[in-house]
Amino acid sequence: MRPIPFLSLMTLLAAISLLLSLAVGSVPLSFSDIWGVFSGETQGMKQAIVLELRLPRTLGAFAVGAMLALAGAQMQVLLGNPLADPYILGISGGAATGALLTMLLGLGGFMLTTGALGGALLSMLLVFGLAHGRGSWNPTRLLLTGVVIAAGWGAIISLLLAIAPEQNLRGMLFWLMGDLAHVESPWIGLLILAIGLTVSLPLARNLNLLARGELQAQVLGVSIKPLRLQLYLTASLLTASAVTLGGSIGFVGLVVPHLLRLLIGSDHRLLLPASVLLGGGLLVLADTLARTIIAPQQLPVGVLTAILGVPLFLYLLQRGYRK
Amino acid sequence: MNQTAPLLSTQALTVDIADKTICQHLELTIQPGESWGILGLNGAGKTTLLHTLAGLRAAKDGEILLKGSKLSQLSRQNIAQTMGLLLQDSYDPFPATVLETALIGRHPHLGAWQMESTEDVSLAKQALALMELDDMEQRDVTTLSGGERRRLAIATLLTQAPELLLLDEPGNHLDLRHQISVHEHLQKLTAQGKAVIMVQHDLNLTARYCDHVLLLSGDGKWSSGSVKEMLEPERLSHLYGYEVIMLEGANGTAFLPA
Repeated sequence: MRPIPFLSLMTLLAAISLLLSLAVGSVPLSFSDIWGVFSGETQGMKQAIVLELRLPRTLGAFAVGAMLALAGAQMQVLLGNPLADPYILGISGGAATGALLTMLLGLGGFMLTTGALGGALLSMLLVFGLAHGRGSWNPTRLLLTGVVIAAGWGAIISLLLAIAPEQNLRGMLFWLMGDLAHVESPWIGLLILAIGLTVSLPLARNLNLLARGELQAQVLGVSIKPLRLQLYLTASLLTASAVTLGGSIGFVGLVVPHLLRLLIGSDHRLLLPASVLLGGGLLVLADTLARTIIAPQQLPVGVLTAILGVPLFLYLLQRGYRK
Repeated sequence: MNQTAPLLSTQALTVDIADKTICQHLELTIQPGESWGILGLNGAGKTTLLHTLAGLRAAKDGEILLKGSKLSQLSRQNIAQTMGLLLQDSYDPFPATVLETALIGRHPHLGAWQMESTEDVSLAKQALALMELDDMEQRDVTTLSGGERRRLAIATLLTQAPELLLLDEPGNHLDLRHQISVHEHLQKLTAQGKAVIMVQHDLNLTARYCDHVLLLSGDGKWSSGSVKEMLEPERLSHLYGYEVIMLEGANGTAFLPA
C-alpha cells in the first residue's frame, strides 16, 4: 500500500479509538458532548469527566502503546529477530522488581514510579555493561545477556510475590499484568514518545539495511557501532518509560510491529510512524474495553491486549505475507 | 580522494585471522578497467582478505588506499560510494519486496531525509532487468530460490553502481546461463572503466573473465600477476594440491582436474 494513504488510515483509526475511549464509560457521552467540552460549550460534570478522568488515562494509554510498539520495531532490528519484543532484554523485569519492592514497603504513587523507572534503568545499564564485556558487542551476546538478566529478575519477582503479605498481592499482580489506572499525567510519556520518534525517523533507512545483517549494512555505508548504540538506548528508554507508566503490558510491542511487517513490509520509514499510530490506538481500545467490559470492576489491560492480539496475529500469520 | 591514484592499492598489507596469517606484505595495485580473480583453497582466507579490502575488518599491518586515501580514515558512507561488495550469502529475516531490496543499493548516495528519486528507482529496475528479475519486482524475497536471491544480491550491487566491485564467488548458486550473463556484464563494466575483484573457484570462468589473478596459498604466501602467468597447470596443481591439466582448443583453454 502507498505510504500516505496507509498512514492516513492509521491516523483515522487512532483518532476513532481516542474518541471512543473518551465517550465510553459509566457515564456515556455523545460525540457532540465531547466536541462541546473541547470547544468550551459543555461544562460541569461532563467536562470534568472528560478532562480530568478520561483524557489523561486515554492519552497515557496512547503514549504507552505507541512507545512499546516503536521500541519493539527497533528491538527487532537490533537483535535481527522479527520475534523480539521490548521486554526481551529484561527492562520490564527490572521495572517490575523496582515497583514490587516499593509496594512491599507500603509506598505508592510517586515512589512507585521512581522504583519502576530505577529498576528499568538499572537493568538497562546492567545488560549494556555486561554485553559490552571486553569490546565485542554483537546481537547474539546482547540477546543472551538480556535473556539471562530477565530470567534473574523473574526469579526475584517470584520471590517478592511469595513473601508478600496477602493484602498487597492483588495490587502487585495487577501491576505485573499491566494496568493503566495509575496514570496521573500522560504528558511526560507523550513527550518521550515525541523525542523517541524524532530521533528514530532519520535512522529509518539505516534500519532497513541493518535488517539485512550487519555486514550488508556496513557494505552499503552504515556505521554500525553508533547505530547499534543509539537503537539500544532509544528502544530501552522508550520501554522504560512505558513500563513506568503502565506496568508490563504484554503483546503490544511484539504484535504491532510484526503485524505491520506482514501488512506493509519492512520499510522502517513507514513502519516506525505506523507502529506509533497502531500501537497507541490498539492500547487505547484495549484499555477502554478493560474498564468497561465488567464495569464497575476493571480488568488489567495486559489481559485485554493479549485477548485482542492473539487471534489477530494468528489470522495474519495464516494469511501469510503480502504477495 | 585522488582521481589519478590507482582505484585500490595495498602497501605491505598483512592480514590474519585467529593466529593464521592469510597474506604477508601484500602489494596490490588495481587500476580502472582491470578484472582480478582471487584463487585459493577453502580456508585460505579469500573472503577474509576481501572483507579486509572492503574495510569490514582491520588488517594486522600495512595500508589499504582507496583512490589514494587511507581506507581507515574514510567514513563508511564515503567508502560505499566508491566500493561495493557482494557478500557470500544474503540474509533476510524480515519480509521485503525484490524492488525494495535492490533499492537499498542507493543508500550511500542519499542523505538522511532524502527519499529515492525516480532515477534511483529506474536504476534499480534496470539492474533487476539485467539479472532477469524484472517480472518479480513485487515478490517477497523470502519466497525466492537460492539462485534468484543471488541474482538479487548482484542487482543490489549494480544499483549501488560503485567504481570498484568486490564479489565473493559471484557464480555461487547460479546456473550456467546466469553465470555467463553475470560475468559478461561485469566485463562490460570493466570496459567502461570500473574495476572488479572476485573470489573464484571456477578456473575456466577465471581464465575467461579475469585479466589478473592473485593466488593465496594459505600460509601467508601469495603471488599475483597476469592471468596467463598465473593460470598455469604446474602452479595451479601446487596451489590446490591436486593435479590440474590444461586443454587448449580452437575455442580457448580449459582446465580440468586430472
